[in-house]
Order: sequence, then structure tokens, then C-alpha cells
Amino acid sequence: MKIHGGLAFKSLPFGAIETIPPPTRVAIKVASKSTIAVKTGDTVLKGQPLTSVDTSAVMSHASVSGTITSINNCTISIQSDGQDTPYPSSPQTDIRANEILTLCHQNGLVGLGGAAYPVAKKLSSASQHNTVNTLLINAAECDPAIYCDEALIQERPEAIVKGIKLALTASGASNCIVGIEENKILAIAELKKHLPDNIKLVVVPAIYPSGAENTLFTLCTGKTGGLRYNQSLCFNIATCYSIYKAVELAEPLLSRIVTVVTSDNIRNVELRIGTPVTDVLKDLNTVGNQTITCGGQMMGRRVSAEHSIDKQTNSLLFNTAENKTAVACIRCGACADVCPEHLLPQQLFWHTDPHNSSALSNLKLDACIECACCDVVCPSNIQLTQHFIGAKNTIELQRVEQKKAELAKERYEKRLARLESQSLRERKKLDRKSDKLINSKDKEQLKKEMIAKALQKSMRKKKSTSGNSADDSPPQ
Amino acid sequence: MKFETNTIGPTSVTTTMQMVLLALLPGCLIFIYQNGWGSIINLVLAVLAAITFEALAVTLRKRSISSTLADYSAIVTAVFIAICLPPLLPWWIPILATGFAILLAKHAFGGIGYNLFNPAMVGYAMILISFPTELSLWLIQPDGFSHSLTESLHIVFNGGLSVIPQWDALTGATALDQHRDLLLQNSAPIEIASQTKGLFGARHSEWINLGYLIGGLWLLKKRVINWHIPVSFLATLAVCTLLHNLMAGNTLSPGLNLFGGATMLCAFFISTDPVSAATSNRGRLIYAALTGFLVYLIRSYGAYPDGVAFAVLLANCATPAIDRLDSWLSSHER
Repeated sequence: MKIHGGLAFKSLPFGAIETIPPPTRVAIKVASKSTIAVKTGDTVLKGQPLTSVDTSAVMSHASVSGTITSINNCTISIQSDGQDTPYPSSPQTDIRANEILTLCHQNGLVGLGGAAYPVAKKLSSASQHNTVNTLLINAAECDPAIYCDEALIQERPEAIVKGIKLALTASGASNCIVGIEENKILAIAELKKHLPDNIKLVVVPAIYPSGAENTLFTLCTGKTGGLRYNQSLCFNIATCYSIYKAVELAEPLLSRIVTVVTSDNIRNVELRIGTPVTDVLKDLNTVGNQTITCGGQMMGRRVSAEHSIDKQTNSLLFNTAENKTAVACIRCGACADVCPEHLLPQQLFWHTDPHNSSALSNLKLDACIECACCDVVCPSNIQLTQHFIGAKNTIELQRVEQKKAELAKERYEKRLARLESQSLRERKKLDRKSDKLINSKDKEQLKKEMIAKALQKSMRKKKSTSGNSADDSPPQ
Repeated sequence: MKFETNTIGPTSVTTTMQMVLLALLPGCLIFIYQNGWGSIINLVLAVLAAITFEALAVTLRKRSISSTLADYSAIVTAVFIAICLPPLLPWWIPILATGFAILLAKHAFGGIGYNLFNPAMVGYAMILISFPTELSLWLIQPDGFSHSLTESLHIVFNGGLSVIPQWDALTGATALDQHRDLLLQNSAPIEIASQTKGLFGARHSEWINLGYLIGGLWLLKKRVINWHIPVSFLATLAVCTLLHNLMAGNTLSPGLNLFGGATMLCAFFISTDPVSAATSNRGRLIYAALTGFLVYLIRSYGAYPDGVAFAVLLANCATPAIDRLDSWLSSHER
């Protein structure tokens, strides 16, 4: 199985996993929907939960022991006391499948590949809705500038394999595939040595973006349509390692391995969650006036030096900014040749300015995985992916607006109908009232007439009894 | 650390154009060898005119002159025009063709990337229609350098070859011209073949075509162009010629058609112009097949001996329709 297009990058040498001195201050981001369980001034221990376990939101833990200095905007800052006093925990033995899920939640596990989707949520939604066919373990790096997973496999294969087995138990999947790129020779050897027979190792071509989960799934199984369509799950290999640590060692997710790329080398550093980027800069002796990209050279985004390591920071790239000016598209089609999704990026680009939603959807803009292969090959230096992300946002905005408008229209129509029925009701009421009134009028008239008649009658009676009276004599 | 990939083609528009110019070199040198000083004068005039007109247009459109000229696209257009022209034309014809190409076909449509038609072919077709006599006068080949530079300059700046009294003695028809004349005279196929055939293609111009073929293969290898357009174009032309020969007796041999006139130039350089070609690779297969079919039709039944320029322009007209057809096809296949 081969993907269409893509880019083959040269594999570069990288360093073993190392550590830097623990940070003196950490800034830990907490999920916006979680309840913060600590307050400013509290002392916390390393590994102590910072948020309540009750909500389904991802939990956060203190990655150092020390004092909480501030809580704002879902960021908790902790001043370290330098002791790293651990929060007491006791590893359980003999764990059942549903307990793995609970432990994943309690220890704040998220996917470490870059998307940071909560592990517990992924496991529970999969087991609730359907049976999981295939559990795919992503051991292919998602970006040519990231080596953290490869280093992890080379150095801690036993723990990873234990984690994979735990994930397999928890997901209840019928089979399990580990997908890895062919250029990771040492990692492949380690996995071959440690993986049990029921877990299949599939070696895929080292062509970016084969590390994208749906692409990898197609490469490993030959099935198209993506993971969800095929009722399958995907975990990053580093996530499996954290599952092992959470379940067997009762250790929350306090650190992760980050590939740090500078102008002259590639290192893999195990960093505490919340470590400020400035600490990394200081330790690596890199010059500060470089751009910092987080998340790889292809799909990464620029961050400032104030950024702190969070659970999804898989890499930090320090490089000098190069400014290439974009020129007009010459429709050469190099972008279409590398697009893994068989799209026509230059045609998509043509329809982003001026924005043409229907043409873009005809050209399947939503199938774009934003891998940025087209940006790399474009001779006109056009940042195509940025345009596509922008266009997707515009379409999303339009959709929201349209939905709003439809809702408003619906509301308006309902209101009109309500008013109509109300006025109808009122009119009926009025009618009834007037009917009544008319009726009552009639009755009164009747009464009056009856009275008048009775009066006349009595008068006539009077007349006949009293004989002739001058006043009462009928006219003649 | 730099993460590099070695699977990609040229990294900028400028590199693309420079590589195209480099790939033109073998064919171009043979062309100059066969046509002498006159073609060099054409080349110089066209390139100078292209740079001037490009600068003028860019100034009028209020863009940066240096960055626009630096993409070499105007020079490529000028070279394409010059290598289609016969030598010793009056000086203003190459300039007129280039001006028309740059100003009208390119910048009036929005500059590089926006032109609907191949600018070089627009310029060439315009003068081909306007000055058919001048454009049919080719010197006797391959003895192009029999006229000295001063003599050539004198002819060029004094009205061209056609105003010289003894021009008839100096000129000789190209293979495709001759083929067409002989056909009109109902000559025997063997005679036609003996008069027009070279070693493997058309007499004389087979070598130019071979030069362009070599350059084109280099462009393919360097991933400046994809295989779809040349292969589809040449295959269609060859198949049409073969079928024609089977049905109507031998008139135009495949060798004459493939290695004659501007066939290889069209296959690898003209119809591969990405701006005016179809978008997707499938679209490009259709586009090039259409071009090849039109070249065959014009050469076999049309009024012009070669017809590459008109075939390319007609196919350019069909490009938007081909793109629509292609997107319709791809929306129905999955």
C-alpha cells in the first residue's frame, strides 16, 4: 500500500532522551470545563491533582512540589520548592478493563501525538457505541522534524509494549496493529523483539504524512474511509507509554518527551508539563531571537517565548525566520502531485480569493488534512495551507451564521403563527362576547317587551276595572 | 537543522524558467546552426523587446519591475517566438510579435499565471496570419551562415528577405512546406518521401526536433514538467498519422510528423506551459490529446503546413471546459 504524493524527507541523526534541571516555576494549563480544586497560596505535592476528578474534563496535576502563586485564565502557576516531594499513591495490582479507563482519567492522560484528545473519552466513547475492530498504534512520527516517539521506542520498548497490551485490553479491540515508518530501523528491531504474536507490526514507507492517523490506518490495513468509518481506534505510541505509567505505576502525566530542534542538532528532552520555553532556551544555550515553532515544521504553529510546555507539545523548533515572498500561481501542478488526498490545491487556492464556498466544497476542501506538502513544493512560495485553513474557517463561520439565520427565521415564523393563533383566539373570544352581548341585548329587549306587554296588559285591566277615566280614555 | 526533501522539482518560478531556457539550448543551437545570423538577430530583437515591453507593462500596472523581470518568463516567451521565426525577417516583425504576446496575451489578462492563452503562440499566430509571405521564406538549409553578419543586418533593417530581388534563389521550402506543395500537386508518395525525408524524420528539422526532445527529457527528469502532456500529445499525433496512412494510403509518415516542424517543441515546451494547460493530470492528458489531434488535422487538411500554434491556441480555448469535465469526472468516480 502506498499513499498518493507525500514527501520523502532525509532522516537525520538525533539524540537520546535527556533531561534538563527541573523548572523553578511551572505554568500548567487546565481544561476549561474542569473544576479547579486548589487555590492561590496552597502548597501542592508533585503529582497532586489540581482539578476535581468529578467532571469528565481532563485532569491536571502539579508537575513540581511547591506553592501556587496564581490562577488565571485556566493557567495555574506553581513556584517550585525544589524538593519534588511526591504525592502519595499506591499502584494497584490485578486491574480490570474498566478500571484502566478510570485510571487513565484520574491520571490526566491525553493523546500525546499532538491532538491531545482525552484517552478516557476515546476509550469510553468507543466502547459505548460499538465494538472496536482494530486498535492502531501510531509509531510513525507525524512530522519530519519530530523524533520523540522513535527515541522512546528505542529506549523504553518493554514499558511501551505493556502499555499497548493495556490499551488493547481497555479498548476490547479484536486486533491490534502497530504502524511504523521503514526508516526507524532500531525502533523496528526493538518492537519486533518485544511485541507478542497477537499484535501485528506493519512497516510503512517513510513518506510524510504517513504518520497522520487516517493515512496510517489506510497504509496498514488497506481500508479506506478512515478510522471512525471502520470502527477503529488509534493511539500514539507515547500515549501507550503513559497508559503503562498510569496503570501500573499509578503515575499521572507529569512530563513528556519533546524533540528540540536547534540550528545544529536534534535532541529529545523529557520536560515537565508547564516548563516555560525560556528554561529550555537557557539550558540549550540557544540564541533567543529565533522563531519558535511548536508541533513540527510542517503543521506546527508559531509560539512566543512565554509559551510553556503542555501535554500536546511534541516538539520545539528554533530557527531563524526566512521570509519568502509569494508570487503568482503558475498552475504548475506540483501541489497536486504531492497531495496525499488527491486534491487540486492550486484550484482550491484559486477559489479562496475571492472566496467561493460551493466551488471549494466541489473540490473537497474538507478532505484537506492540512499536511502542508503543497507549501513545500510550491515554486511560487504560496502558503496554500494557510489559505485553506482560512477558507475552512470562513465556511464554518458562514455555516454558523446560516444556522443562526435559519433559527431566527424559524423563531420568527413561529412567532407569526403564535400571534396569528392568538389573534384568532381573541377574535373568537370577542365574537363569543359580542354574541353573548347580542344575546343579552335580545334578552333585555325581550324583557323590555315583556314588561311593556305586561304593562299594557295591566293597564288594560286597570281600565276595564276602573271604568271611564278621562286621562285613560283611548283616543277616538 | 534543515529538513530537506529530495523528491521535488524546481523551488521557484525563476528556477523553472531558467531550467526551461537551459533545456531549449540543444534544439536552439541546432536551429541557429541551420538558419545562421538571421535567427540570432531574431533572438536578440525578441528578447530585448520582451524585456522592454514587460518593463513597460509592469510600470503601467504599478508593480515592481525588478521582481517581475527576475522571473525570466518574458525571456522564455521571446525565445519561443524567435525559434519559430524564419531568419532575415524585417526587424519589426519579431518585435511586433513579442509586443503582442507580452502586452496583450500576458499583461492584459493579468500577467504571469493569469493568461488564458500561451503568449508566445498568440504572438506568433498573429504575425503568421498578418504576414504569411514573410513567414514562409526560409533560407536554404543547412547553410545558414553563408550570409555574413553585416549582410544579414543589412537585409533585416532594409525590409527583410522578401524585398531582395533574388530572394527566390536564396530560399528553400521546409520539409513540411514541401510536403504540402507536393500533396497539392498530387505527387506520388515515393517522390514526396524522397523529397521530404531525412534520416529518421523531416529533412533538416529532424535534428532540431531531436535537440528539443533531449532537452524535454531532461525537464522530465528534473520534474519541471510531468510526462502526461508530452506522452499524450505525441501518442495522439502518431496514432492519428498511422490511422490516416492505413485508411488513405501513405501521405504523412509518422517520422515526418513527429520529427518535423515544431512537434517536439510543442510536446515538451509549448503545450506544457502550465498556465494555459488544463489543471489536473487527467485533464492534461485530454488537453494534450486534443492538441495532438488538432495538429494532425491542420497538417493533413488545413491551410497551414505546421499548425502547432493554432492547435495550442484552440486547445487553450478548451482548457476551462476540460477542467470542468475533469472535476465532473472526479466527483462521479468516488
